[in-house]
Amino acid sequence: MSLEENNIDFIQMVENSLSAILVMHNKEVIYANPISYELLGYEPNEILVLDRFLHPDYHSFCRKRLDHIYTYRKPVKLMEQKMVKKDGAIIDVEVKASPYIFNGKVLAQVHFQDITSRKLYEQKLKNSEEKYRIISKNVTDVISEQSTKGEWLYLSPSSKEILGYDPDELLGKSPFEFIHPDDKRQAKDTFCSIVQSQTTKTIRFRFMKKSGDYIWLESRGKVLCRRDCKTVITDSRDVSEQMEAEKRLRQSEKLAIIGELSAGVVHEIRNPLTSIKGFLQLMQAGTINTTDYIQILTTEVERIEQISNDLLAFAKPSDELKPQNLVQIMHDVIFLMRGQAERKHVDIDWTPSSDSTLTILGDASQLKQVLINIVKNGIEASKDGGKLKITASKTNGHAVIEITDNGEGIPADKLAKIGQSFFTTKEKGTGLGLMVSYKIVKNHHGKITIDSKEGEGTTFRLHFPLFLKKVKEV
Amino acid sequence: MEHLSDELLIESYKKANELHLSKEFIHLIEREIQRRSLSHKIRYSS
Repeated sequence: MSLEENNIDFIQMVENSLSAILVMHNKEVIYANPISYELLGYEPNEILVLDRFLHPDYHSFCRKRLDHIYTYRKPVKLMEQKMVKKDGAIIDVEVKASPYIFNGKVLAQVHFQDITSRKLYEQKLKNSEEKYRIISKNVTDVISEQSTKGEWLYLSPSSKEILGYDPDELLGKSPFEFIHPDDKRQAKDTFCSIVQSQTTKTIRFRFMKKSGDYIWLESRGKVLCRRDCKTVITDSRDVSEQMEAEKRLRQSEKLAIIGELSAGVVHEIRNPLTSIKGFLQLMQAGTINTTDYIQILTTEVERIEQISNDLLAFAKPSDELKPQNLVQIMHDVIFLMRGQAERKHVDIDWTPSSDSTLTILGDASQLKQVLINIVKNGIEASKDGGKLKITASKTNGHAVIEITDNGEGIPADKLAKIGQSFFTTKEKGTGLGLMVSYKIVKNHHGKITIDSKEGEGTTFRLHFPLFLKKVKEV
Repeated sequence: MEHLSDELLIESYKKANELHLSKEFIHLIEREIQRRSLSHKIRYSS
């Protein structure tokens, strides 16, 4: 079946076409379909003048294109141009033209489409892309997208500055390869729980830079669900300086505690010293058999040694997490605090649980700092002749130390503020001691809970996760 | 101090007094004597 047989009306097709079609003879428009008039804002059959509807920027170029068609009888390529509507508005168009031989004359048929809105979207997209690029290039945090297994899918360019790696070097790798061995398990656990619970979580860990140095990163992760695809978006920042400042605060708070303890400690050392000096004088006088006293002198010297060792171990700055026996640490703390308790006639009632070991992962010096702080608060809160009850037990995979005083108690409105910096119920307190304690306990992945009844006393409970030797590698 | 025998403790107390050793030292021995309920021994002898 040929086209002629069906008598297809091509004129009607051109008239109804969605793309504008003009037929030109030299510079004159000898035909335009209705959509051409519509796009250019003219009434149908008005005269279209090329130099008027073509944007001045394109006049000479279009003339060349038309000449090309008339001379070589070959089409010209698709090109983006601008046209001017009758009302003066400028539109973006895409134009192509080809020769049209009619009665031996070479005419040009010009097809064009309005692409103004497409150009607008393109521009918007370009702007937003640029904005996004500028943001991701200039943020000081490293923003990354990770698969639910942890591999990096995207990293902002800031990784170069913060981690020392170009994003390309890290794509497809797992962050856990770069995390300090001591922090790895915690980081993995947190990542898994972000993926499973779909909640936002923040974690701090040491990350090895390209230079081989470790920096402290604080990462906040969140699950992003896009269509079927689930990924984790993390925002990480360098908190090394902040960690350093917190460490200094811990240390200076510790020194403040040592200052306060020193009176009690000096008292503890004075008795053995007096005894040693006295017995030495008796020995010098030669009236008594020297060997009888050797044992006493040894015991007294050992006592002094233990006190000074305890104090030294406590004063030394450290932040190394190792398995520690919490019961032993509590023992040592009570040994140090006895002097202070005696001066206030406070009786310390220490009953460890049947287990003599409660192993947790921690730093002995920092743990002592927390316990000293809370025992000291308990002694200070106690009435003269009061009693401080301390217990240690194992509950739900946690080691729990409970310190109960029978002091005034803390009013409910103040209870909520405990642990915030500069909040204190003491006349001469700074409020930093408990804040530092809270931070230390948090760093040990534990928590502090407080029960208090006004007029009856206060119980501080410290919970630390028990250290289990055989934990399956994730 | 706790490791000293009773006799040696009393002996030390007497000598310390004789030699006029420091009051703190004598007081420490006194406390230990009291703790062992031996106070009568020093009262008789002095």
